Amino acid sequence: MSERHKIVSRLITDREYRADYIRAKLEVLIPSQLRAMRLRQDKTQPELAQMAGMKQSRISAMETPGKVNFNLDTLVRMAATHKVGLAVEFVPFSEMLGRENEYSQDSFNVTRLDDDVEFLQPARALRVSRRVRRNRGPRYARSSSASRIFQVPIAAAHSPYLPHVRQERTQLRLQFEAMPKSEPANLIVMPSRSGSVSNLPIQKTAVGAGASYGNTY
Amino acid sequence: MTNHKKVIILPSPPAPQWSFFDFVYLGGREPIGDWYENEISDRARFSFNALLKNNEKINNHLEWSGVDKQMQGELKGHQVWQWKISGEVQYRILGVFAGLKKAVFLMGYHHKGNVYTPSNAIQTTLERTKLLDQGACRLNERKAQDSL
Repeated sequence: MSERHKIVSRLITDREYRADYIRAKLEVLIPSQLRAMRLRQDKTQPELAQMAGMKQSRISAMETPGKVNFNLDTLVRMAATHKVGLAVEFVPFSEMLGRENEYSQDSFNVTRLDDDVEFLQPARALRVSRRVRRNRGPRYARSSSASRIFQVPIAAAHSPYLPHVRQERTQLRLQFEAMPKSEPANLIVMPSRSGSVSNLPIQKTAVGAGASYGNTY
Repeated sequence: MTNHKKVIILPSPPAPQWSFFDFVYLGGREPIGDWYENEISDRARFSFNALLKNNEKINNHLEWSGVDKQMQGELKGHQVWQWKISGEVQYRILGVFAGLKKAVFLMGYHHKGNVYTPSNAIQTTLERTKLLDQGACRLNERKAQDSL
């Protein structure tokens, strides 16, 4: 019986063993992610400690696997300091292992709030996403990562963001209100992945947010 | 070609991963393998594997997680580093670099307070460093155990 089979057999039967397995992975992955985010920002531990309102020794401990028992509040605090979100979710073991195998500290990069176009300007992200859809053809039409391809940092000149976003949202609402109620939902049935651009359905009536941007096929 | 404005940016090839090896005596004794199998807890074994998997993908060894790079005391100046492995007690594994993107684990031990197990861990590490320099040992490659 291989080493992996032994581990799996015991994981199925032993709760404490499962807990150790999960804990061991988190104890490495969380410090590694914290370290990666700090390094990506070119911050030293004392600088980050100042930003987080913590001592440098605490930052150092958090970046050392197994040294800190993270609670949710600490994680939230670090996420807020780094201006990123935090998603804690229960997943199958296969997914947990898959994520661990795919994870690399060197390439770990989380878009910070300042640069998160999808969050700050959802309308703009949608426009870019549609542009990508138009240019790339049907294969990419449903790709949720399409907008991420074109994510660009917003220049400081664009701030303050909120009024800008509010303005866009207002426009959107007006457009939606102007739509006749009898129109079907804003759904376009896309061709299968093997289809070509010419197979795209012709949209006679401009619908949704893309209406004012001439987003008809 | 003068009017050809299309710029194609080719991604740089991924940096090779680190390879880790266990020190093995010429006689066949495998101190690291024995330590891994018999001396450490399940939790520490998982932690060690997770650390191995994480660090092998980090190009710059200075950015490794859970590592002491500058050892003090008798190990100072011998370019020995130490990985900290979490568990019920503080497990440690000492190693050195041996070529491009290659690292060798020399000694596993743990300590609780000032009590080190085995007590001669540091001296043994230095002996094994010498044997490695002289080529009087063998190496077994170590991979993380639960990779799919």
